[in-house]
Amino acid sequence: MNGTRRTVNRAVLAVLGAVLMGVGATLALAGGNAEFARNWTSTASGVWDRIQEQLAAARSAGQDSSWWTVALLAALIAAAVLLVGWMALQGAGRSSQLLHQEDIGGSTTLDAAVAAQAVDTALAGSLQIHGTSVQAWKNQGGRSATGLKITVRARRGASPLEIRDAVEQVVAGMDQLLGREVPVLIRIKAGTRTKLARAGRVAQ
Amino acid sequence: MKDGNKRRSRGIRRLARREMRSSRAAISFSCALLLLLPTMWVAAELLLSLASANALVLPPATLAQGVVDVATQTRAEVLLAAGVALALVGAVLVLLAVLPGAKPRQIMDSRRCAIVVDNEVLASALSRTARRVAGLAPEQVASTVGHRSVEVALKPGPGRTVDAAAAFNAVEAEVAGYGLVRTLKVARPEAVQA
Repeated sequence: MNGTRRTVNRAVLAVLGAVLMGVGATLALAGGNAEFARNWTSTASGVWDRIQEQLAAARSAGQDSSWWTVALLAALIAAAVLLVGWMALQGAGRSSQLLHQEDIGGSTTLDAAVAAQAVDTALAGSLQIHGTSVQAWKNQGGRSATGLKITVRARRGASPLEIRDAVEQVVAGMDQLLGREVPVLIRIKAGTRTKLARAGRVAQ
Repeated sequence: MKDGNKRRSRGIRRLARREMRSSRAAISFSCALLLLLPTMWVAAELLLSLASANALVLPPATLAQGVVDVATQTRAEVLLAAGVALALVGAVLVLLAVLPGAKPRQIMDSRRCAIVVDNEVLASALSRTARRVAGLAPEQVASTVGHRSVEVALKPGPGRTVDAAAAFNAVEAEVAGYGLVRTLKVARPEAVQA
């Protein structure tokens, strides 16, 4: 439901994996084949010599460094910026606002915390439910604006049907209150006590 | 209006399906961080060499010479081991990119919301149904919900018999009532004599 670009993640991971496999295979080949290792060193030292000549030729005026070094530095910094951008994509789209509406008279903003509290209060009495958490997400594409993810921690042995009905009732109430239907994702997961308890207290 | 409904149900399905698969966010974050550190380090070394300052660890020229020499100046076994290890890590990353990363969850059908429920929650609810029908204690029933199947194991105490067929019917009816998008097949419960 969030803005994590999943295709980007998978594509970058695939490219990274392929590069690592290539580098690893080359290293292993150099380890297993002395001829290949000698070729590597002679070819690479030829390349390195040429690079050093180029560096000497392209010295920027009055300095003893070359533009190539500066360009490499710029490329590295660009790579670092891209990597930071990739990290920032993870879990992007979290929002604290559920609704924002511009009218002639002004604008109205509804915090996601309002929905969180409404859901929590409505479900607090339920014997099937341990607790809830609510998170608003900005959808990509933007037509349906912000969505809501309601996570419900179920008690041991709780009926998923009853939980579904209870939460859907809350959502119906919210629809009426807001006058529009925001996209809602309900996630019913096991509460920690469901996982740990063996002979637990069960809501009958 | 009808068009709007169709669009909405498509959106709901998309929301639910997204929740069923791993986003690979954690591994992406770690990979980016692991790559960021050496990138920043090399950039820093370059900057220092531009400023003719002392290197942090190695000056860039030494680093480049190292890449030239590594094939012949390192012991062959070390190179081989390092290469195989790197290639394995790469293979894992490619697998993570390609495999679906399905999570142990099911989608419940709904017109208004996308509802995703953990297999664990379903299993615990089905255990409760089975033990109520069979008259057993909570720890005498164990259910497992898999991708497409449900297994219920009944373990009545010694000398007790249990109506496994009734438990099976109850569990099957309960599963059918959930309105799961992917049908779960219930295996006949086996009554294990403890």
